[in-house]
Amino acid sequence: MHIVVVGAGEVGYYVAERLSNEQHDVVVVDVEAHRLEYVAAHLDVAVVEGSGTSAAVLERAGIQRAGLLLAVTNVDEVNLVCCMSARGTMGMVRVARVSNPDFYGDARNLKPDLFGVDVLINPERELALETVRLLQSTAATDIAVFAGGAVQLLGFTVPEQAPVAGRRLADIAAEEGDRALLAVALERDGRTIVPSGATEIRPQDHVYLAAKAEEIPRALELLGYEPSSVKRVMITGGSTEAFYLAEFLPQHGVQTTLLIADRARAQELAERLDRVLILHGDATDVELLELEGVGGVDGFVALSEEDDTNILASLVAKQAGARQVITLVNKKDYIPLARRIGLDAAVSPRLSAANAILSYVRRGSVTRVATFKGCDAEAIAFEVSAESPLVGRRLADVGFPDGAIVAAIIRGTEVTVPRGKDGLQPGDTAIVFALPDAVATVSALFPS
Amino acid sequence: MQLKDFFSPEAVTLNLQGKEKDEILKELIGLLKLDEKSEAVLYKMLKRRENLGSTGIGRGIAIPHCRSLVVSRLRVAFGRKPEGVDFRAIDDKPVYNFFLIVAPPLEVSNQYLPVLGKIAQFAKEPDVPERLQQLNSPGEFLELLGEKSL
Repeated sequence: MHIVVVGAGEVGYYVAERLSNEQHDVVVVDVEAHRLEYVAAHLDVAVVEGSGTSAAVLERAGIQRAGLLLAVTNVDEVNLVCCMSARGTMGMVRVARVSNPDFYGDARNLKPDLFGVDVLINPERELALETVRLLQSTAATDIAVFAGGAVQLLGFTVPEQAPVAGRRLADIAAEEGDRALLAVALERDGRTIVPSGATEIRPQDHVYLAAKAEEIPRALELLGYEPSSVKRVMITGGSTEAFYLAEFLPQHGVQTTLLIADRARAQELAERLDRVLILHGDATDVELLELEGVGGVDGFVALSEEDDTNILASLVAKQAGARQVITLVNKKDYIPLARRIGLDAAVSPRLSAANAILSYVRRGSVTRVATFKGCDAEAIAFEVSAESPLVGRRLADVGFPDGAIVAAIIRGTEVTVPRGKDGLQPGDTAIVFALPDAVATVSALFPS
Repeated sequence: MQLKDFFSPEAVTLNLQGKEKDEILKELIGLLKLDEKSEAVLYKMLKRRENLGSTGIGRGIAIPHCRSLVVSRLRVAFGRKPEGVDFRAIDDKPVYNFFLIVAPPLEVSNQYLPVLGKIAQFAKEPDVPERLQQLNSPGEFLELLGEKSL
């Protein structure tokens, strides 16, 4: 597919990278020549310098033959106008990144169709929602939810004393009987593998589990983590992500403190957030964090716009005794680093954006895609059609491609984490966990 | 435990005398009836906290707070300054109502954050700033806290 990406910032770069790796024909448009130089030097994509709001520039980017326009600059208005300018192309899906909370209020004063926008994506809001879910499932490093949360894919690091450490998956499965839990991937020594029954779980492995929501406490127990509830959370930073999170948490009954270094921003948010204690102060000040009682919080979330501020504040919070620490990390290279230095989980605006966008790229039978920070694998939700060669056979007999596994089957309101004896029916949604090499083979098994 | 159970009428004053930030902090500390040395230590701690960022949270309310060994359990006080004082609050407006919270550094019951949160929640109730201005006695202050049942 020919795809035009407007905006070569963190989000645009990452999305262009993912799409070009999948053999799409990608053109990146940006007003800044230096950003385009970087993109051209690192990615196999074409670049066009100029404003994506200009019809002439979009034409140079080949908009007339594009199947998808992704307007993902960090300025909402630019993205909207960009979609307006591209209204002429028939059959093209126009996606605009829109982050301003004002556009998402009760008033809903933004009418996407007025701008010719087919899909609005809001990475900041997605990131805040992901953070809420991470806080709710203590110790998880990654989380993706399907079927409205009924089935979840969670990443965990296996601690030394985990009850499952040193045991084979087949043995654990036999003991757990029909529990709706499945290990779908293991990351070990920097490599991701889809395990078999003979695979042994080792301490320090990073394991990805598919689980029905009600089995998550059992999953935590098997891994040696204490299930616990979140009552108090401290957020640092005045970013849009912080705003959304501070809005969501009190709705879950969580007492929330927001610490903001910028006075004017602190005041602005204090006026808009009714149920949050907003304090003005520097999140990297060790003394301030201690005075604010960071050691007593269940969750500490560093959401400023600066990676180094976030990492530093998170380290201080962890040291002081905050139970779970979640850190916003923009720079790709810092994400594995965050885990290595002992921070519990990293969230990334790029990945949140990519998750929102990739679902619209793989149209056809794909209904949703989730990516993970720790590994390259993806979780893809496929609609199962009558034409699928998988229909009517046991999964054990199908010979599913290497590097891929069916993590869950959604049938109406029923969710199953499948065993070999289970099979797919037309109308099911299959959640498949797949390594990059297997994506194409797996997709072929789910014709639309 | 409800918020009102942490306050006693002796630790409530509706007529703070101080005309600037430091004087107000000293008066609030005075409400806790500590010895002179402890008062001095606490004053220094609270000043340091204010220097890291004002505890004036807007809407005429400030919550000076810190942890210190000078108290053996969580202590709170309330003071009102009807004329208002410049407290470098985040909205740059004068502060009329002050909630002081002091907790020991290692507190078994871990009430510091819940109390801080409850006071913040109380302060955010739309009618609270006006109701605080209308109080005539410490008893009425406790009644108002009780009414909000936080």
